[in-house]
Amino acid sequence: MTRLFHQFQNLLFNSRKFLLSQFSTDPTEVQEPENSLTQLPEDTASLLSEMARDLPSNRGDVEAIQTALDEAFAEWLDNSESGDNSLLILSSPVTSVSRILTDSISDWLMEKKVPLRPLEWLGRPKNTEEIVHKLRQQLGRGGLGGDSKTSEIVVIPNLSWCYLRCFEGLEGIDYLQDVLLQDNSRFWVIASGLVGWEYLNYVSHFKAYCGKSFILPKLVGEQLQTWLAPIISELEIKFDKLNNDFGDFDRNKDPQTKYFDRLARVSGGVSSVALEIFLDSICYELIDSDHQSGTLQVKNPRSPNLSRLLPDELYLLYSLLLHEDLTLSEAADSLGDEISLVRSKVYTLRRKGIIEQRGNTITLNPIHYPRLKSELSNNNFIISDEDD
Amino acid sequence: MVIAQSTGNAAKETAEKTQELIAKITTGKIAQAFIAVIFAYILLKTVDKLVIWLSEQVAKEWRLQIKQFLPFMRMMVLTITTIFLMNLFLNLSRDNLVAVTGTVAVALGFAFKDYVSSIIAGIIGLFEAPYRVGDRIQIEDFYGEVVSYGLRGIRLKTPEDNIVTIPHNKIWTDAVSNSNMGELEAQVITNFYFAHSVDVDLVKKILYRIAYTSKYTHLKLPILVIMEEKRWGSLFQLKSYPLDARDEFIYKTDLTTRAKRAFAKYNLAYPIYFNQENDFGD
Repeated sequence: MTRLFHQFQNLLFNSRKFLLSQFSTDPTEVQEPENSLTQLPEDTASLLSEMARDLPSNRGDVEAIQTALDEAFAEWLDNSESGDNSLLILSSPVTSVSRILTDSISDWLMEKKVPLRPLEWLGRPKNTEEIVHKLRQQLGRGGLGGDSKTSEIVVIPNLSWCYLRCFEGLEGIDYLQDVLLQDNSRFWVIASGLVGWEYLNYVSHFKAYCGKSFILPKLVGEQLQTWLAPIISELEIKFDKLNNDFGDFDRNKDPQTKYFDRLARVSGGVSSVALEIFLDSICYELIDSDHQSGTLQVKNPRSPNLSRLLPDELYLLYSLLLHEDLTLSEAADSLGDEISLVRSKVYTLRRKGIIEQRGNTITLNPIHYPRLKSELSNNNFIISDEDD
Repeated sequence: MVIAQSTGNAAKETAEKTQELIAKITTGKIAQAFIAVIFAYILLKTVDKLVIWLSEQVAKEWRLQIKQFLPFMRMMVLTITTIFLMNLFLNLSRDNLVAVTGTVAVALGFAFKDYVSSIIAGIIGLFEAPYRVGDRIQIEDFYGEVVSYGLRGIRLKTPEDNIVTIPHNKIWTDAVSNSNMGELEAQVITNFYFAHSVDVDLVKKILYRIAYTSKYTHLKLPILVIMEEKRWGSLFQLKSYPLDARDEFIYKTDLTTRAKRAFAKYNLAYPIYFNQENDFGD
């Protein structure tokens, strides 16, 4: 009993930094001081982000999608008159699900030899009222494909492009509900973020119209290690200066394995979150005294603190999780606010590093997803807990 | 005769005891009492600020639970201070208590009848809970959020941002309408008025969609549109809940603004006839 108590005491003592950091909301607070490590040199940092951008989709995600596709497609072929004719692929809203789906489906389609009709969009139509018209144009039987009843696979790479949370914005979903079950000669593959999916289930019972749904499985440490191996080997990143804060359970594992197991835990097994946390954990250690050369080291992976958010900021961030990416005018429509108001909130959140802006499009910085999810859930927002 | 004499003796004895007690009041005791009162006041203010601050820091779902802790904290501070003061001046022995309570009861009974009634109602209110801090209530013509639960009464913050103080003893005689009873959610009813000829299905569809697409709507709670025929036209009521009861008025405005935009798009007819003497509630 005494031994157990001492073990518990040691565990608490060793993990005190981690435990205490959970209550902090100061993003500037250094949770685990790493005095010997400094910021990356500019050229290394840009090389690192370039390599991260060029990483292929995680094999774990791709293989999981292909397996789910095989099963659902075979079931549809066997029972195409009355069986489910769609597969929903669900992922966290910060996962680039359209890219993973495209990578997964290209090889798979070669084998199936069934005509493909993809939704050839790279984003949401500019005018929300045009969503339904454009959907009809691209996916309607009476449109490009004629009225024939030949079998075909319809792919919607990102369902969030088909709606916007505003009065006219859900007409695209109404249209999809009408056509999904109408014609069993079509097999639908639809990818969606979990937050948007949950929302659609509340507002239009969309789940009832769809067949099987499949949630991308959480990635484990080993899968992340394999995925990020090209970056690690190319930049010769070292794992030998890690804090020994992983607990006694990992005693027999090497530092790199421990690191990736911890990374998988902290990121919730979401590839985009894991990648951001991995990049955030890389530091530079100077070797010689004249500060000319150094090595890349990793510190313990951690999800950064989320600064205190105002109610209006929470509404905007929820909207981003719902739609995954938004332009300023779409964000204004989704919130029912003036665009100037939204712009000021976007600037504030961008400065805090919570959202990112590429051109006119804003997205959530995936590194904040785990904490933001629990913050929103605690504040009555509908957040799916299926990926927990 | 004997009874009258013994009553007279008892009154005389009580008066003597009271005199004796008053004679024991020294400058030192007054100073102690003064310090105790100041300390209690500072403690009350600190507890007020601390509990309110804490309730605003935590997740919304815990906000009201923490706020509702405030009256109990205040009551505890006041009770301890009162006992301390009574002990200081009245030396709370059994005899002293009997002597003083008789005198005090008579004085309070006449001079502070309503005050005492409010204090007792406040203590009972802590347990019966017709309202708690954070609740949105209506008493008489006043509607608003309970922002403070004091010894004598509560303070309501109205939509116009006025603070209205209402004594607790209203709970003896007046109806208290509580919208959320300690919960974070409070139903909002938004009225919409149309001519008899309006397309009912279209209006219902618009109203549901407006509610489902508002950023404030609590989607886990039911949304309902009900309709009633009136002499002047058709009354539609959209019943829904905001994520946070505090957003009640801004939520209603959001629903109305976006609904009116949609009504204009479909050119829906509003009631033409409106008799000033009969409002829309008829």
